[in-house]
Amino acid sequence: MSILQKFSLENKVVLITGGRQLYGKSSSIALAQAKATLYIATHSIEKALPFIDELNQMGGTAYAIEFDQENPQSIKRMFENVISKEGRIDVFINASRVKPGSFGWEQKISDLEYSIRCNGAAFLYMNRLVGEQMIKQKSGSMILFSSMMGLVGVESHNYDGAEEMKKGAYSHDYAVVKSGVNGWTRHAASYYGRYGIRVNAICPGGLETPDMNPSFVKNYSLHTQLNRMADNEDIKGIVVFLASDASKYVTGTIIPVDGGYVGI
Amino acid sequence: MDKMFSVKGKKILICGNDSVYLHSIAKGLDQAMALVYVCGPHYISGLNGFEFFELQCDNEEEMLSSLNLIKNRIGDIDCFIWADMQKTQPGWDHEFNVIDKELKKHMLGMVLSVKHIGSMMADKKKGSIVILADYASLVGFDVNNYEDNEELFDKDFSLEYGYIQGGYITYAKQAAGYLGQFNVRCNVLACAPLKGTYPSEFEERFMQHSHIKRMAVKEDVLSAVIYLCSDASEYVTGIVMPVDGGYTAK
Repeated sequence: MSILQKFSLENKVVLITGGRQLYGKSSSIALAQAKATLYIATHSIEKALPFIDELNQMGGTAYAIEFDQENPQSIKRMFENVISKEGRIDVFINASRVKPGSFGWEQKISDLEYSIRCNGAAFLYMNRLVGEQMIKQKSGSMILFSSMMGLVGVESHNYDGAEEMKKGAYSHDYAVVKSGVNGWTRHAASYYGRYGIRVNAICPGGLETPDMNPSFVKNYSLHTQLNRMADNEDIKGIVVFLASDASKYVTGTIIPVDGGYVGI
Repeated sequence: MDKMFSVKGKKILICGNDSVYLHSIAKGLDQAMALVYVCGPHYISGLNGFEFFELQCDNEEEMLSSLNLIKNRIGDIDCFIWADMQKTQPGWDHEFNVIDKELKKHMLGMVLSVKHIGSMMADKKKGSIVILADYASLVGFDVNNYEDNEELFDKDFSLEYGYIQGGYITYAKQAAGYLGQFNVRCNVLACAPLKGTYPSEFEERFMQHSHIKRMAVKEDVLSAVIYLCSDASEYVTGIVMPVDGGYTAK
C-alpha cells in the first residue's frame, strides 16, 4: 500500500456532529473528498440537504441524520440509526457546540449550567455511546474538537480596537468546557486503548471570517508564529489524518492547529 | 528568606469535602501561623478549632450570601484554596443525568468560587487562588497500574473524572488572565496520590514510573500550597505545578 492510500477513508463510516458550520463544514468537505461514508448530524434534515447534495457532487457518500444536542434520547437515536444502517461507526467526530446566551466574566450562571449540560454532559454522553459500539468492533477513532482556548488563557490585547468582541472574552463556560475536552481525551485514550480505539483532540486557532474586525485579525495574527488567522483549509488535513489508518498509532494527543499561537 | 515564604497572619479560606488533603493543608497552614478558615457544602469533622462556613457551591445566590457572611466575619481573604478532591461516581457507563449532575457538582462550584472570591480579591488588588487537582489533569491514568483490581479501576476510571480534572487546568489560566489586572493570581497543583491511600501493588507500579522512587506525602503538597499562598510566588500565575515525583514528566 502506498503511503497516500493510508489516508483514504473509503469504506469507513464516519459520523460528525456540528458538520455544517465553520470548522465542522470544512471537515465534512475533507471527509467527503477522502471518500468516507459520511453521516452529518443536524437539527434540521431539510436545512442540511443542499450541503449533502454538494458533498455528494464532490464524489462523497453523505447523509443527514437528525440529532438534538440538548436531548439525550435524540442523541441515543442518532447512534442507533447510523448503526442500524451501516452496522458500524469507524470514526466519530464530536465538533458541535451549543452557544450559551451570555458571555464574558459576568456570564449568567443559568448559561454556564446550560453550557455544561450541552457541551459537557452531552459531549461525554455521545462519546460514551459511540465507545460502546467501538468496543464491540474492537476499533474506532474518536476525534474531539477542543480549542486552543482549551490550552491557554485569553490575550486581552487581541481585542484592542475591537472592543465589541471583547465582551465574549473570559467566558467561564468556554475555558472549562474546552479544557475538559483535553483532559478527557487523555483519560479516555487510556480507557479505550485496550480495545484498539483511539481518542484524539484537535485544538484549532481562531478562524478568520469575512465580517471580523480587522484590528482583531491583525492583533491575533501577530500572536501566531505564521502571522495569520486560520482559513477553511487548515483543518482538513488533521481531520483526515486522525480519521484514517495513517494515524493508527496516534492516541491521547491534543493537537493545536493554530499557526503556532500557543507556541509563543 | 523565611519571610518570603511566610503565611503568618494571612487569611486563608479552604473549600472542599472531607479529605486527607484538606485536613493536612488546614492543619499545616495553621502550624505555619496562617489564619485558616474552612468552608464547603457539608460540615467537615475532625477539624476542631477551625471555623467552618457552609458554602453551597452549586447555587450562585446562596454562595454570594454565604461569601458576604464570611467577609463580614473574617474580613478580606488573602488566599483561597479549592480542595475538592472527591472522586466522581465510579464506572464508565453513566446515563446523561448522572454525567450532568457530576459535572455541575465539581465544575460549577469551582468556577463560581473562583469567580466570586477572585472578584472580592480584585477589590483589594491582591490575592492568591490555588486549585488542587489530581495528576489526572495532566495525563491519563495508566491501566497497567490497576491490574487485578477492578474496584479501584472503576473508581479512578470514572467517565467524568478526566473531564473535570482537565477542566480545572485551562480554567485557572483563563481566570489568571482576567484577574491578573487586579494583581490576583490563580494556579493549579496537580497532585499524585498520597502514600497509603492506594493499595501497595498500585504504589509499586506508580513508583516504577516516577522519577523519585517514593509516593507523595502530605508535606509535599503542603509545601507547594505554602509556596503558592506566600509572597515567594507573587509573580507566578496561570501555572499548573505537578507535585508528583516526576510521574507526569515521562
